[in-house]
Amino acid sequence: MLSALLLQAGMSLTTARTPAGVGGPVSGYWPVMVFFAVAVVFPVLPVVLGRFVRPNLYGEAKMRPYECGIDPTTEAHDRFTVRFYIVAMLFLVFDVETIFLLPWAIIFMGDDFSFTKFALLEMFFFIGILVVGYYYAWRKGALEWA
Amino acid sequence: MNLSFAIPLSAPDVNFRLLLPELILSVTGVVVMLVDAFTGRSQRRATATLSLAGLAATAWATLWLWPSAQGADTRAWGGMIVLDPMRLSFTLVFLIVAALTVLISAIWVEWEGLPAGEFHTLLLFATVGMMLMASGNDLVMIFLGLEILSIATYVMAGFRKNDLRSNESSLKYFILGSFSSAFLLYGIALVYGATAHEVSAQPQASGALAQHVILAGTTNISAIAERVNDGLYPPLLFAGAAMLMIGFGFKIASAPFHVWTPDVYEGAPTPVTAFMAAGPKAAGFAAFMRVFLLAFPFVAASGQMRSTGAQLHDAWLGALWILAVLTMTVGNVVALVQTNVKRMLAYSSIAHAGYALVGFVAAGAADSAHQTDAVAAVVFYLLAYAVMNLGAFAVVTLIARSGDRRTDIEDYRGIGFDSPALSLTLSLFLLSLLGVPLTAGFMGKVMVFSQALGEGYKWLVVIGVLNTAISVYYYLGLIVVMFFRERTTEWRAPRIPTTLAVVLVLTVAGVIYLGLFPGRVINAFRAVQPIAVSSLR
Amino acid sequence: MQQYLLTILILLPAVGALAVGLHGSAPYARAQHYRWIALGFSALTFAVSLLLLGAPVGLGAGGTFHFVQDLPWVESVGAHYHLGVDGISLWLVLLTTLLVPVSILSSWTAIEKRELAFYASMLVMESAMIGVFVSLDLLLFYLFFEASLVPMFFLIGVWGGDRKLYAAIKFFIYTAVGSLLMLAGIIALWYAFGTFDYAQILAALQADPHRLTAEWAFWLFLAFAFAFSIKIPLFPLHTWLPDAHTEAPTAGSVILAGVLLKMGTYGLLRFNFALFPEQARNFAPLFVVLAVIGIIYGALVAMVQPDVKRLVAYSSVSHMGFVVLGMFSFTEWGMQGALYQMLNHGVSTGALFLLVGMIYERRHTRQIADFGGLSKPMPLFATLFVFTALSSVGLPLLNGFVGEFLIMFGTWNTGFVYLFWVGERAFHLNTWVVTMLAATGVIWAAVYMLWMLQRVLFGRVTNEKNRRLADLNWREIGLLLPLLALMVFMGAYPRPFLERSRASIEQVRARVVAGETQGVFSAAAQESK
Repeated sequence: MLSALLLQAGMSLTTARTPAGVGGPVSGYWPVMVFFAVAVVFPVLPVVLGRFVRPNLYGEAKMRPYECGIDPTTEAHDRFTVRFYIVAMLFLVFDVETIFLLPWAIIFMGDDFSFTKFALLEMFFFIGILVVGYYYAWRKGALEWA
Repeated sequence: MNLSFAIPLSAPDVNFRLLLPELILSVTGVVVMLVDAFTGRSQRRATATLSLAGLAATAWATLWLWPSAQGADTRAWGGMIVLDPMRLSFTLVFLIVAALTVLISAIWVEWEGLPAGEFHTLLLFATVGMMLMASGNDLVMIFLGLEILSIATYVMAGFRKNDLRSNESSLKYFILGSFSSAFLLYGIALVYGATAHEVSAQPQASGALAQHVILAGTTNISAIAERVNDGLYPPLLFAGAAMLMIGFGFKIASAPFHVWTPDVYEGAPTPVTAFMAAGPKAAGFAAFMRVFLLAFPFVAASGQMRSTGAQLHDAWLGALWILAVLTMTVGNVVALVQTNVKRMLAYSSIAHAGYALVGFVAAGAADSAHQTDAVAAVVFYLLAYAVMNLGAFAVVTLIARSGDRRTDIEDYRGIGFDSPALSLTLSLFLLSLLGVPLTAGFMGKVMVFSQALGEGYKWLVVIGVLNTAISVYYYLGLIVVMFFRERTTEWRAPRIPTTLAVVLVLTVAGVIYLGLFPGRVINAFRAVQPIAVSSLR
Repeated sequence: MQQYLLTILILLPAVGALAVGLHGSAPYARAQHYRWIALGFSALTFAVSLLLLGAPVGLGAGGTFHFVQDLPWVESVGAHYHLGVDGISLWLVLLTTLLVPVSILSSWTAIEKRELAFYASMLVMESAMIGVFVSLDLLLFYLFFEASLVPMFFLIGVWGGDRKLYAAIKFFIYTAVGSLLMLAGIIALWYAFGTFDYAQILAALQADPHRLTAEWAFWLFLAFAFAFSIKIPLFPLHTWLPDAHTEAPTAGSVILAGVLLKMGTYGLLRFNFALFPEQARNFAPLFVVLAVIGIIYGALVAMVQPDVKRLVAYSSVSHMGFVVLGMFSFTEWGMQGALYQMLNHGVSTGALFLLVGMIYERRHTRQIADFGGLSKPMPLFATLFVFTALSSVGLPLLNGFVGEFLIMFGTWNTGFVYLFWVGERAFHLNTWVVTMLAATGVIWAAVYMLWMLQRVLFGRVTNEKNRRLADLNWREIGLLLPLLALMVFMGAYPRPFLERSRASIEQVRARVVAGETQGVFSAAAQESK
């Protein structure tokens, strides 16, 4: 939230300048740098702070992976069945790519009707290609779990 | 908040005619994929035939577009797509490579019992990616094409799932390919930032924000060319160009960015190696040349100060010179000590990228009239290389047998007179790779070297010739092993399947035709110079 | 017909190679068939090549060529398919077409494996060699020049002797490296003139001698001369030759010595002299000295060879030294003699290799020590061997004498002084010194040849295996006869040869000596003018 505000502030700073002053490559990037600095500090700070604040008590039970006392029975790096990856990839294709629908929906009704026609057709193409891919994955058995 | 719509959106200038080859091939790819999904396995012939038909139709469309490459209607899709002889010549090279790969892989797919439909689909999509790299007039379009190509080839490299070498090859290719894509993308971003300039927004009906200024860079190649001199951040431009050069350097496997090549080429299934060494390399050259020749052209100095454009041109040309020398030398010298045929051909492929770079350097230094010739020489070189390289790999595929087992040079001992057809054609391809007269490789070298001499690069040519002399040793070495040594291992001459026979006949004819009568081809390639297409109206 | 004659000559052997190959796939094919097909095609080629003698006697006058065919080939780079013969190439073409059928006939029983490939290689080779001599386009010339390399590489590597691998690779790398430099030179010429066509380049140079700067001409001369000097081979670059000649099969040695070496001297005459005359003058002292060293060195090394074939190979170095010496005398005598000596060497050394091959076939050894007293079991062989050796040595009335006499006469009468500069001091190398030193080469030649003859042919038969050797059969006599006849004819009546080459030789000579007034050959002298 804070960084978003900073970004907006940076934007307004640069855009408010006269055209001749827009030149500095560094000054134009300073919001990004601030963002970067915050991004580094934000996760590191609690960890460091926590070290000073919390009590440090070590014991045998404390150092076990599970404090409840049960020893782990398998390796921590467990093998997952490959189907999870297939599902993950299908998710990428059919869920994430449909995000394209969002910007499309916003600009779809422009001033120019010719663009609307074009955009509608294009979206049908896009969805059609996704459907073909979906069908392919289906036929190839990517959706079968057992 | 209607601020963001200060520049009104409208439909891009749709021109399906200009995209016809790409469209045909994409549709073919989808159809092949569906056929594969519908009919299940063992549709090797159906999908191969469909792919070949699609490639033929695409070639027809390309040839149909050829005469109009000079006309007025050569841009579309908001300046993203360009129609010029450079694109069409490269497209033709890609199509030839893809068609020959389909034929070479037929026998291999059968031996290994691989899903043919998927292989053909991937191959077609990879070809679409290559074609988009050649036709893109925008860095984003080129990147898009590159990714389509790369993702398909990563999978193809690992296509023999149960072979560790193939897996290793795929993984290495994937990691280093992504790495280089990142360089490329970073370069594109930097160039975009560096070409930023001010745009006065259209005053809105309310008149509220008439003074508003938007910083906008560009990724359009011709727009970049217009702005190199008055970009706001010249150092960024240099950094961006350097990043682009590294990214493309990876793709064409030029030293010192070649380290991935031998492992990947050795591990990948042989038909895929053949494809990778000929196709994606040529595609890399297509994009590399278009971006650097057209986006960062030579700009005459005005007044006392040398303009940014002139400095940038000198810088990248100098870097390219070094790249060419390193690539030729490293490729040839390391190839001397190889004991595996695929690995040797991989290093030879690096060396050949170096020879093509010599022509590229000449094109970079040439004025616009001579640039056409130099670009045509490079495309001719890549075509010649594609033909002879695919031919050589076709023989290697057949000799390797299933599982790519027999790929050591020792496996070739004394097979010369027992398989005369195979070993004589392989010798022809090796001699052509070496650059012996009467072959395509010779003509390619003559074209490229004469262009470089024409631009006054004496030493570059001398280094190139010395490198050719080095390469005599290892190309000849394989011929010597085949013909002059006695056989020590058991050897049954393989029966040559029809598809491979077709490939061998086509490539032998191609090597000899290009070696004897290069005139027609070169004239077609240089019909017009690459046209800078502007998206700015 | 006239304009297609040379194309037909080039294509005929190639078609023959194709016929051999196609016959190989026929079910009724036998190994014995290939040699007949090859012999037929090469004999036909020889017969057709005799039509070249239909050219007028004074051919080549004024730099003209005969049987010209000129077609655009690679238009984008200005390469032509331009063929033609003049008084120089005419004889070399005829020498080629004569030696190929002879050497095919000599392989009749000597080649016992992979006959198809052998005869096909021989015919491909013939095509390439004819192409070299008739090309009037630099690119075309280079193409044939290199193309002749590949079949010879196979001839040595597959059918060669014990050390064939080493010899084949050495041969290929030496010549390939040289010709790569020539390729760079050819491309540079293209850059300067915009064409590969020899006639056009020559015309441009005649119109404006300063079209090439001295610096460019210097490097171009070196590039061409390097390639040709390896091929000749000139003294320090000769080391590939003994290995290649010795390890090659008999037919390969004949072609190698008879024709391939001539490509080097032909190239010097055709390209280095005509295109870079000033540089040819400036480099003359160097070449003359190297040639003389080659003459004496080759003869001395030949003398101590224990291997007959190696002895003949080293004698080639010596003989080719004479050719180079004659060329760089820049007199009509010397240059005519050089061309004549090229032909002589092809005929005599070719015949020597054939004879050596014949005893090798019988005994499978080439060591002089293994022979002795062969004149008893093989009187006919001994007669012909002595005859050929005397021709090679330069006995009057045989061909070798004419060539060597002309060369030495020309060198003596050159009228120029070879000038060397070491620092500031100039050293004169008088032409009579050169001639005298070269003349010792003739003496050495007599010594090593006669000594070898004595050890091989005469005395008592020391080795039992030699006692029952069969004398020459009709095939062997038949293939030697044309060469023996030529030795006598060329020695007794050189006029038909010389009068046909005179105009062309004079043309080259005029180009080299034009503009030279001081009679001094020296780079330094040129600059001080």
